[in-house]
Parts: sequence; structure tokens; C-alpha cells
Amino acid sequence: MRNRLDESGSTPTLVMYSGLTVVDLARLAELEGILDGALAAARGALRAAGTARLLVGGTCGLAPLTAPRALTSLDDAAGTTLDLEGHLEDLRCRVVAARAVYAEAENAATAVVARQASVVGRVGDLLLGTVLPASGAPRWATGLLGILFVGVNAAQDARRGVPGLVNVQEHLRAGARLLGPAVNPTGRVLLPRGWVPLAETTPVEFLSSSLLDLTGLDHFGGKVDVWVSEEGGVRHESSIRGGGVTAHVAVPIGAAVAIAPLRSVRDVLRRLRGTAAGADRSGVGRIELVAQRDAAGTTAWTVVLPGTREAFMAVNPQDHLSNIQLMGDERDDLLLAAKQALAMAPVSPGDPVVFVGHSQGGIAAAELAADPAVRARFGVAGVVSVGSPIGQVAIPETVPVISLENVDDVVPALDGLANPSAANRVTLQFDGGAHSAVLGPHDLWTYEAGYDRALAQDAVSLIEADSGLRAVANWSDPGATARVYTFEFARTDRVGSVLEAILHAGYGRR
Amino acid sequence: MFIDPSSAVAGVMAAQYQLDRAMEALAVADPEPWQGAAATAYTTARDAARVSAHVAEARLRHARECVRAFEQECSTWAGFPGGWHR
Repeated sequence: MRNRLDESGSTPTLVMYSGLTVVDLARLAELEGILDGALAAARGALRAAGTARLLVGGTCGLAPLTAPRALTSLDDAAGTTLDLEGHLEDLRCRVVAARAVYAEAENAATAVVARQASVVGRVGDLLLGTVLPASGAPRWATGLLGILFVGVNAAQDARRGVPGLVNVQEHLRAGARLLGPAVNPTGRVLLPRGWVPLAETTPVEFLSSSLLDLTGLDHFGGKVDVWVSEEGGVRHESSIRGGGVTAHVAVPIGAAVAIAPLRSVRDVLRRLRGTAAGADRSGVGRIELVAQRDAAGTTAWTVVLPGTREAFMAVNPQDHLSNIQLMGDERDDLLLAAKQALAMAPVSPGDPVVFVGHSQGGIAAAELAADPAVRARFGVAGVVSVGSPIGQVAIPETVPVISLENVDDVVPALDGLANPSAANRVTLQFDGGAHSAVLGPHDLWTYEAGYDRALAQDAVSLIEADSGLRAVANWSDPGATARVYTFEFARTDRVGSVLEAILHAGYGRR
Repeated sequence: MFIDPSSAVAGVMAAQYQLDRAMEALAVADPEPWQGAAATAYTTARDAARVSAHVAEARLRHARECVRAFEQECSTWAGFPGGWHR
């Protein structure tokens, strides 16, 4: 279930580049501050008039001739000051709403301008698309020259301040479009669902799966053990050797640990940090399933999927090989382990399940939500991807998706695509600013700060999506209780997997 | 508990001071580079707020006079010739 490349409809739903739109938004923000001051002053006047009313009322017996008139005049003054407060509230609301709308519109326009090809890019397109093919130049020469143009163009865009996310997205797509056919001249790739022609894949997907096919690494995997990490070291194992999810061992309820209930995306980002740290400590893969039960007894599940932890072909499948396999739409151990964890956990049919992932975890989250087998068995209720390239994943329109992308972070650009524009998808692109510089553009803290800032700036689409997600995941229920199941998983036969890869190296060898 | 009625005038004066601040803020709350239908609606709403502020200012001025008369009556009435605030 993948999105095909569709350049016409690839505008993000919500874009906020705070650093690139200054004039109107700054003025409106200033106006909002002025009105805040006026509102505070009006409220101060109301309080002071109220105090005077209290004093006159408390001593009115001492001046029976003038007290009634003084009280009436104070009531009149308080009434009109209350009117003023109402008018000022209305004004402030208008400015806040206008600022949100302008921020969306103007920044979307900025993003469109930033995506326009430069002069070098246009000359390159002309040469590569028309001149060289007509001159009969060999394919490798066209590819080599094309990559050179893509590199020069990317450097030029970086110099003129095009954000890293947009720059990499555009040029990776262009580069992959040139490299894919050069690496795999057959024009088709063998995926688990069968032969797929170049035209039905995205450039990055075709290149990734071609490289995996060529090296046989599309066959590396399928031998993973999954267990619940329980306090006291007890493991509840369930082998999925052979590549398929087998009959599972149900996890006892006692394997879950009570935790503070999740209240927001921010709480889940904190759990993501903890899960990642746990995986680093143990050296094996780790994901969490949080069961949050509301006051009415309904349980909703939040699946917490951290980002890449290891380099390549590691014991922990949360590595770069899984990244390439995910981008190439190939079978991979991380998705196998996550599906097995879902099968083992006591998830009742129809229980809402929300997938939240950072980086690689976000791709896995989107893939799980798009998987018909997963949706047939579980009530997939939402996806939150944090710094993840998921533009290629066709998530059904019934599943709300929030995608966070820092414009300084190139990781969400590695799909070479902008996220599709759809009613169920909100993509927040924000300028990480100082957080990017200090903590790194891909850091979870940077994303947490960007998310908080967008909510504070009244980003309407995001607030609506956030509120819907909190309701469906039971995060907004004040009486909810939560328990977490920590699943660990590891590749068990890497030598066997390497042999499998060697045996299957070369295009289309099953 | 002893309540000094002269504090009521101080209260009204504080309210007037705060209202002046609100009016000063409103005086500079122009939309300037913001144009279009939304800005027009904003300008209309801001003018209504200014009218409210002027009415509130007039009523507070009147309330101040009334409360001052009340204070004078308190200071001369009911066997307190020296006044409450002396």
C-alpha cells in the first residue's frame, strides 16, 4: 500500500516557517500584545470600580443622601467597562484567528516558492530530459551528469536559504530518479507483493528496493524472537522464525506495569525517549504498548515506536537495514516484531490503537496503520509521525495522521516526497530555530518544542487533530488509568540471514 | 471593621487610570499593513471598542463626582466633623 509519486497534489496541509514570514505576522503579533495590554487594563479598571462599589456599599449608612447616587453611578461605570472588556476580547480573538490564517497561507506560499527549481535546475532538466537522450549519449553518462547537476543545484539552493527539508526532498527525488534506472536497468523490482514496474513506485522506493534486490538484503530477516520484558527478568517468548506471524503466546495481564496516564502527544514523546534509552541499555529492540482505560472501562492502545538505534544488520532490528527495507517496501524485522507484539498483547477486537513513532518508528507506525491485515484485526485510530519520511505510505482516509517535520531536519525528506494533502492528514512543518542549533534538528526535544509552539500559536488544523487524537486514545479522560507492556525483540540468526542474502543476490531471485 | 469611605474615590481614580491605559492601547491598535475584509471587520470592532471606552470614561468621571460628594457627606454627617480620613 504505497503512494505513487504525485507532484501535482503534494502540498502540505499546514506549513509554518516562522523565520521566513516577518512583516504581517510580526505586526499582527504586536497588535495582539497591544490588545492584551488593553484587556488587562480594562480588567484592572473593572476590579478598581468594584472595590469602590464595595467601599461605598459598606458605608452607605453614613451618607444616606448621596450614597444611592454614588452606587448607581458606579454600577453604570462598571457596566460600560464590562462592555469594553467584551469588545476587547472580540478584537483579540479576531487578531489571533487572522494571524493563524495568515501564517498558514503565507507560509504555504513561501514553501511553494522555495520548491521552484533554480536556473541551474532548469538547464539540467533540459539537458537531461531532451538534449542528451536525443544525442544518443549512453545511460551511464546521462546518469553521471544528472547527479552532478543535482548536487550543484542542491548546493545552490542551500546557499540561497532553501530549508534543508525542502532541499533534500527535491534533490533526493531527482537523484533517485536518475540513479534508480542506472542501478536497476530491468525497470521493475521484486517486492513481497510481486513484480512492480518502475512507474508504480516512487523514485526512492525503486532505488531502495533495487539496491536490496541486487545485494540480496531483501532476504535478510524473518528470524526474530519477541518477548515481553517483565520486572524480575521473566520472558514470555513467541518465535516468528520463518518470516510469518505464528500462533502467539498471550501475554498475562500481570506483565503490564502501571504508569501515569498519557495526557498529550508530549507525554508520548517522553515515553519515546524512555523506550529508546531502554533499547540502548539492553542492546535489543524495544517498543511499548500502553493500555489506557477510561472511566467507562473502554481501553485504547498507544503503540510507542522509537527511532533507529543501531547501524546495520544488528541484533536489534531497529537499525539502518530496516530503514532501507521500510523505504523499499520490503519485508523487515521491525514490522514483523511490532505485529507480533500486537498479536501477543491483550488487545480486544475494536479497541482503538494509535501508533506514535519517531524517525524510523514513524515509518513503522504509518506502515502498520496502512497494513490491511492490521486494520482488519485492530481498530486503527490514528498515527503520529515525528521526523519521519512517510510521504510514500498510503494511509487510509479513515485514519487521522499528524506528521511533525522540522524544516532543518533532512530525515523526513528521505522519502523524496511531500506528505499527501488529504482531509485526514495534518503535516506541521516548523522552524526548529535555536532548538535545532543546540539539540540537533532531529532531536525529540526539538520536536516537542516545535509542537508546543504550534499549539500555542493557535494552529487551528493542528489543534483540531490533536484534540481528536486525545479523545480517541483516552488521553483526555481525566479519570483514565494506564498500564504499559514493554516488548523486546532481537534477530536470532544473523549468520543464516547473511547466507540467505548471498544466495538471493541479484535481480528477481526469490 | 473600620472602613474609610475616602478609599472609594481612590478606587475610582485607579479605575480611571487603568481605563486611560486601555484607551492609549486602543489608540495605537491600527491594522496598518493588514488589509482586506478581515481588516475592515477588525477596524469596525475596534471603533466599537473605542466608543465603549469613551462611554466608560464619561461614566467613571461622573461616578468620581458622585463618590466625592458621598465622601464629603460622610465627613460632615453623623457627628464626625473631622472627617473619616483625617
